[in-house]
Amino acid sequence: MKRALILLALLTLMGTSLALSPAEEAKRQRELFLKQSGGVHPGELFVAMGEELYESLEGNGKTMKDCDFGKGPGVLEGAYAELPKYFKDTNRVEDLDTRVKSCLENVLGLKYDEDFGREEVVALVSYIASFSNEMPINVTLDDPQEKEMFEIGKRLWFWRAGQMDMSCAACHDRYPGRRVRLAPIRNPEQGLSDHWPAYTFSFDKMYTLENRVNFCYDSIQIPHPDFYSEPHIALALYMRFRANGNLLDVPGFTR
Amino acid sequence: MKKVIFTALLLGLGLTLAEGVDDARVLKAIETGGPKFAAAMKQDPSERLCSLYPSGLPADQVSAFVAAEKKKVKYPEKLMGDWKKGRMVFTTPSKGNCYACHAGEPAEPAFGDVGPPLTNFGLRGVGNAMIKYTYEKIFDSWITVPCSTMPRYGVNARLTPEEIADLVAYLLSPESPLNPAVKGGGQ
Repeated sequence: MKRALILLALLTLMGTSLALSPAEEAKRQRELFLKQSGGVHPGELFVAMGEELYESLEGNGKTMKDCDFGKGPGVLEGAYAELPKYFKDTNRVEDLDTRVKSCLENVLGLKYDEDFGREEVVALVSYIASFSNEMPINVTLDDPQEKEMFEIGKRLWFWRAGQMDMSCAACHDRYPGRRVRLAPIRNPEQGLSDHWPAYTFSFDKMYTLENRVNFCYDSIQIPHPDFYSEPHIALALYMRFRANGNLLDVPGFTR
Repeated sequence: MKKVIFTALLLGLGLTLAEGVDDARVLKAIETGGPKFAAAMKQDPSERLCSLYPSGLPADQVSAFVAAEKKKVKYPEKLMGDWKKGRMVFTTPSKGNCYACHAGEPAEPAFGDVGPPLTNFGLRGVGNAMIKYTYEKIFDSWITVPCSTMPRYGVNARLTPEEIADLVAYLLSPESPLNPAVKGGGQ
């Protein structure tokens, strides 16, 4: 019965929201689902899980407070708003997923897939990102590696391939404001990437931007790139640079 | 304002994207995504051109592009198949998945609007020229609109020539439920 009511509410929502802009429609969907979950944002549970990990993980006599996410060791406020960026210690551009992994590996000496895995990374990304909620995205291309990674991201954004001949741009730049089935299409300036990491109610999972990009690739019949690989970092940098000035809405809550 | 200028720079003036970073570096980045990703990201020459010129092919390259695409079309014995099978191809996500981008039967409210509505497509007529146009449009949309967002269903073997012929029948037959405004349609 409750299911039927939810379905009815969903259908009503879809029916009445066709005239709304993608951003307004996303907001409506979010409000409806928050109402139905009793006002509890499931993303907060992952943030709490991340906090517990952040406070408890240790190795090499170090804790995660010794990790530098770009604003100095132990400083989380505003760090996510400036990612991806170049890090001297790893000599590469990293997004938050990658940075969490390299911190746990290099600073704490932990092993991926043994001491921690994807779930822990997602929770930690949720926690660390939450310290940049409602802050403006501020990604820079000052370092030559950042500039190069941005250019790679741009090439990938427009890169048409696979059984569907698709690229990110073929929909997100050509048809922002329209819909694929009922899903609104947004470009980066309209907030395509502003609300990740997000709790996704259709999968009942917490997803980072890397997960979301993977879902995109899978849905255009291109097997997704590995987590923490350069395509992820490049696309995140490209999208976030175009969204500079937009306010982060994290943890997000989405379809 | 900065964003407007940026977008104009990016999409305007037929700039090619290869100027920012060389192919070898991009391919190296793609390799880090793993072998399955790298294999799927391989491009044919047309996909490459569409990627390098996202705002449209340079005028002097269009005719060679279209000629190359035309050579890729394979035809089945009959271009008009079975509309009932075509209806399945149209709706099945792993096949045509046409509702993702197009309106179709009036009773289906969950359609995308990236492409034009196809409701009553049959009003355009069912002459041989229309049948051939429709078949080629689905087999290789880039013949009529170079670099269109619509996938080249036949070229990429997403659909077989027979499945495309079934879609042609679904789109054009007066009996097809897609065509309620065509005499005899909608039943």
